[in-house]
Order: sequence, then structure tokens, then C-alpha cells
Amino acid sequence: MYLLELLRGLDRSGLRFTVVLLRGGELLGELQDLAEVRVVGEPVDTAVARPQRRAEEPARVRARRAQLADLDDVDLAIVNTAWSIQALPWLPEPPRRLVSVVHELGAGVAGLLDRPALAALLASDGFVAGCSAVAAMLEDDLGVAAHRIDLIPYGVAQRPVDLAPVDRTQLDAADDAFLVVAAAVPDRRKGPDLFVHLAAAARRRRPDIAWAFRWIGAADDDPRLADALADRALLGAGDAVRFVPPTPDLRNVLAAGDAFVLPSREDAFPLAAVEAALAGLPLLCFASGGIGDLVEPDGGALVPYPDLDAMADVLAVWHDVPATRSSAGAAARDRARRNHDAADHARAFDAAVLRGLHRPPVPSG
Amino acid sequence: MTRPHVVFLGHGAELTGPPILLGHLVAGLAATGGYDLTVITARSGPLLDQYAASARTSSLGPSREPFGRTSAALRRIGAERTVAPLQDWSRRRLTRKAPPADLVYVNGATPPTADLLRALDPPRSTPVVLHVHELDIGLRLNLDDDRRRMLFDRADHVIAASGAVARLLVGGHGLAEDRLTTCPEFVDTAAIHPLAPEAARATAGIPVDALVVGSVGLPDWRKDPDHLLRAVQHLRTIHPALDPWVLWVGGEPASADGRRAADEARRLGLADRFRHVAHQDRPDRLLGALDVFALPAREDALPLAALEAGAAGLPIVCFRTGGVADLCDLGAGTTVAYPDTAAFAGAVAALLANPAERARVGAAAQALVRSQHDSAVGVARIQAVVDATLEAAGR
Repeated sequence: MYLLELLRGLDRSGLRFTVVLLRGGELLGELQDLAEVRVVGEPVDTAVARPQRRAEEPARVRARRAQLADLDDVDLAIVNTAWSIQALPWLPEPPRRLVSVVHELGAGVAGLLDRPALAALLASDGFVAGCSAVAAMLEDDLGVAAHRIDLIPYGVAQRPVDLAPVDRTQLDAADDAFLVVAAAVPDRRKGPDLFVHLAAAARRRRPDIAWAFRWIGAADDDPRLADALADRALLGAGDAVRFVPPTPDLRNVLAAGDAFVLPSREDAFPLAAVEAALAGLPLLCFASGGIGDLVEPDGGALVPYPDLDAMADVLAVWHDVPATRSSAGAAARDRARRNHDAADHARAFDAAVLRGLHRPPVPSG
Repeated sequence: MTRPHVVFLGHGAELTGPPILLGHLVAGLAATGGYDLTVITARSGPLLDQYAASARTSSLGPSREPFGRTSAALRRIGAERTVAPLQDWSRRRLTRKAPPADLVYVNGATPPTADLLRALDPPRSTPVVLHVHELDIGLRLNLDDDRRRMLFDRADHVIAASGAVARLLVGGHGLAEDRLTTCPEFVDTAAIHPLAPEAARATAGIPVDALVVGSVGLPDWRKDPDHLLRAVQHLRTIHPALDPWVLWVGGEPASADGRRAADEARRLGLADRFRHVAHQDRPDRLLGALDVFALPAREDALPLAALEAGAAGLPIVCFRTGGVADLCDLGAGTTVAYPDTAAFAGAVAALLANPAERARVGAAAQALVRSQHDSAVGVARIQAVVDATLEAAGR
């Protein structure tokens, strides 16, 4: 999604873009509308792959190189996520310049990349970080000099500015419920299981509140939710927690809620939180990653990981004192509008990364 | 007089609870000389040789499913519909090589054992005993309605692996109490020989004078090592002087589950206090490194690892989500409500802070396991069920 929004926002005049993807996905078609796309396949994870899969890898690498063989005159390679640096050796020639856009925090970089891949990443000519936490990680954990890092705050499309919250029946929530919303893909890192535990903790601590917890981004039958659904059954939280499929109208769906929570175990800067802020919701997250740039000091609350009881207590206060949540929501919205506009991000990216590359179009005829 | 032929159906022969217990059971029954025994497992594994010492033994192979690679290839080319008939054929071919059974013993309510029973398709006059080692996650989530109904409908008698399983079967699945016998899990207590603490801690890379809490098992979601790590992080905030180490024995640190646990330790600031030792053929040896055995599982019928810990004289802390809670209620340790992390941390801290209490509770655990959960006791309980079922069927 980040890459798609970036390509939409960049000034692509005089430039030829080729997108090399490690895997496809639902955004493939939209990316293909903006650039030539080649899907080459993920590298093998040697730590867990079966012997046969490992044995097949050299042939797969040869196929990937053949797929990229014509990319021998690249002015600039932009590596989107540190993990993707693994595709760099498959290019026939090194690019003239390499910029890595790092979205991961510590575990995503040092923990997942092997030594050669990490060395290749650190050899980048420049780095882009979308939040201060990633910039700090690059500097403090990986020893990247500060002058090689451009901190360009993440952004989302600001329009539509006017909200039209959906009816709560779309979320199977009663009008008088205290509606807590989350939005994310349901992988473990994002913590859908912790969302269920949070709902159980909230109900245990404040049984007088009519809680409704809704996670937007996966339907109840999504296999990635197996753990969370088992927890929901074990904790008897089936009536309080629902999982809702992804929606193209995310901001207006979020706007139907009373508070936004994202119990990610680790997250550099979840753009869904920006959407929630633009929907006017107060934000509640763990004090890890870069979301503090948006939340602090007055746009919601951060609690130490993994204190779900503390999260539940914040939600109870927001329920009891509506003015606190509305003022936090307003502050978060103002900050999101001011600092997290995708157009601003693209302009700053253009200036920092694409400088000097734009060439005037060759006149036809 | 002809010895009755008992056919055991198992999901696998790997070194996990139900297959290990089956090994003890088959060996124990064989030692009586009163039975002709056959073991058929869906998946092969290191226990097959042990089974073979007491019974004729066969398995479908090492894959997670019969014809694993062929099935995967068929799915890749869109021939999904041919997979189930092919696998059914392989199960029928295997199960029908066994001589006719006088009793079929289904070790575990799992998809592979259900499929083997369906393939064997014993006549209605042949009694079936179903040994349930599973709790709600296993019975409701891992087993589809069709297989679950078939297993419970076909079983003439059901053995529950713990009181918790029995309560779930009666209260949650409507099983009549007269169709059910609780035969708690068991271990060979004479074979539990922990290393001395110094040696065990050296093996695990833990200082000899540290306080250590730990567990044994696959580090998967159900066993929930994350929860133990969260409890220890909480413990360090409320009792900073204790500052325990965490040892997890089992699984593979480089696996997805292992890496998740390591990530959680790092997030919680416990990376320098967490040791994950890969699966051991003799996990009991490393029990010597522990001061307290923790069972943070979301649910677990009655894990053999906890019984081995008790046999080793370790006090136990667990959630009230499975059969170990009953053991703790009898004096083997402390049980707290799930998922109360703070209470779990408090229970561990209370034991770590009090060596005399640790020793007292550990001794009680050891006495309980030796008297109630030794393989001699456990085999005799199950043998009584087998004999009664054979007699009721006129075999």
C-alpha cells in the first residue's frame, strides 16, 4: 500500500519505473497501472525451509536473474522494506544509486536478514524512514550515520475531508455500545489475539460497560485468525468481539467507533492509525514503534507492552468521560492532517530521493 | 485360549504425549502376555521401533498426510478431488493388512485417527475404545463435525486423559457418564533422571546460582511460551530481586514458533534471560536446571512434561485450563485463573522466593506422580477398561 500511494504521488515525468515484487497480491493490478511490474518470488528461508526447497533455490535464483536480465542500466534502485534487499543481487548490474526505505524495526532487520543481506542494506547510499522510531533504529542499532537518513513522515490520502460515518449495524454494534475499533491485516505481529484478550480484560474490569470490539481487516472465517478465534472461544468473548472484512471505505467505517486501538506487538507506524486519527478517534497503542509521533502528547494514549489491563483502563476512562476522548480525537486528527499527508510525503520523497533524475520528455517527431 | 487381538490406531509416532503414552501402554499390555497387539499410525516417527518391540507395527509414512508429495502435486495441478480418494485407498490398504481385531483402540480424537478408524471400518460387533487426550481446542477446532460425530458415535467406551477432559466430554459434549472412564496420563517415573543443577544449567547456558523457571514442550501457540515470558517480565517488576531466568526445552529455536518466542523475549527485555533448548530425546535431564516448572498453556489435557517435572520433584504453576490443575489442587503446585498473567507471576515468585516451600511442594508433586501417574498404575487402569469392554462384547 505504501508503494502504491508513493507511486501515485511521485512526479514520474521523464522517468521509467520498473517494480520488482517478491510476491503478488491484491494490489498488483493497481501497481501495473502505474509501472511495469515483475513478480519474481520470495527467497528461500534457509532456517525453516525443507531440504528439497533449499535444493531448488539455485535454480529459482537463476530464473529470477533471467527475469531481470534487461535491467542492466538502473540509475536508482529503491528498496521498499529492508527484507526486499534480497532481490538486489538478482539485478545484472548494481544500480548507480541505492536508497532503502526501511519500514521495519529491530526484529525486521537484524533478526530476519542474513549477514550478506544486512551488509547490502547497510551499503545503501541513503535511507528513508517514515517515523522517528525507524530512524533511531537505523542510527542506534545498525550504526547508520544520521546524515544518510531522510526522515519523511508517513502519510495517507487526506481526502475525503468530510466524514460520513457508516451505520453501526454494518459493524453489528448497538448504538449504545462503546465501540472499540482496530484495523489491520490479521497477522500475529498486529495482535488480533491480543485484541481478543483486551476485550476480555475490559469486560472483566468493567462489566458495566456494553463493550463492542471490532477488528476491520479480516472476516471471521479467515484462517489467519485461527488463534484469535480460539482465544475468543476460550475467553467467552464471542459476543463482544467480531472480525470484519477489509473495506475500501475504511475512514468512514472507523468513524462509527468511539476509540481506535491497535495492539501490535511491533509496528513501525501503522497507517490505519492515521486513518483513525483522520476519522477523529482517540488512539490507543502500545508504547513501541513509531506511533508515538502521532499519538503523543495528546492524541490518545500509549501503554507499555503488553499491559492489556492498562489498555482496558484507558478505554474505560474514555467511556466514562467522553470529553477526554473527543479532545484526544480532535488532537490526533489535527496532527494527522498537519504531518501525515501522502502528497507531502511524496513531494519530500521526490526532493530527497529522485533529485536530479527527472529529465525533460523527448519531443515527439 | 486365543489371546484377544487389540488394534491401536495412532496419529503418529513422534515424541509427543499421546504417542509416548501409547508406547508405555503397548509395552505394559505386552508384558502381561495376555494380548495380541497391532499398532497402526498415520505418520511414522522414532517411536515405531519401540512399538515394534511389543506389537506388529505399520504406518502410512513420514508425511503429514498419506501420499503427501503426490497429494500436493495433485492440488497444484487442480486435481484436488482426486486427493481424498487416493488417501482413503492408502489407509484402507494399510489397515486391512491387520488381522481382524477383537477390539480397536483409537488413541486420540484427531483427524488422522478418525480417518484410520473409518478406513479400518470394523464390524459393529467389534468394540471400539476411544482415548481422548484433547480438550476444547483439539475437539472443536482441530476436528470437524463429521469426524467428531463418527468417533464418538462409534466408540463403545471413552477414556478421558484427565478429569478436565472428562468434565468437558460430559458437560460440553453430552457424553453419558457411564460411557466414560477417567484414566489419567502417566509416565515411567523410574526413568526420570534429571541432571544435577550445575550440569543442567551449564548445558542450557544458565548461571549455576540463578533462579530458573521453565517448561518443556513445543513452543507453539497452545503451549504459549509468550505467556510465560510475559509473566516473568511482570515478576521482575514486582520482585526485581528475584530476576529469574527462563528455560524452554522443546521444539526448534529456528522454527517459526521458536523465533516468535525469541522475538517476544526481546520485546519484553528478556533476551539475556531466556534460553530455548531444542527438542531433546531425554528432556527430563534438563529438568535439573529448573527451580519451578511452569505450564502456561492455554489448555492441555495432562501433559506428560508436567508429570515428569512432578516426578523430578519440581513444584508446578499452571493456569486452570487443563488436567494439571487437578494435580496442583492435590498439592503439586499452584493454579491461577486463565489468563491472569499477574497471578501467574505471583505464584511463580512465591515459590522462587521460598526454597523451603519449593522443596515441600516439589516433594508433594513427586509423591503424587509416583503414586497416581506411574506407568504401572496407568497401564493397569486402561487394561481394566480394555478387559471390561472385551467382556461386554463377548470377546
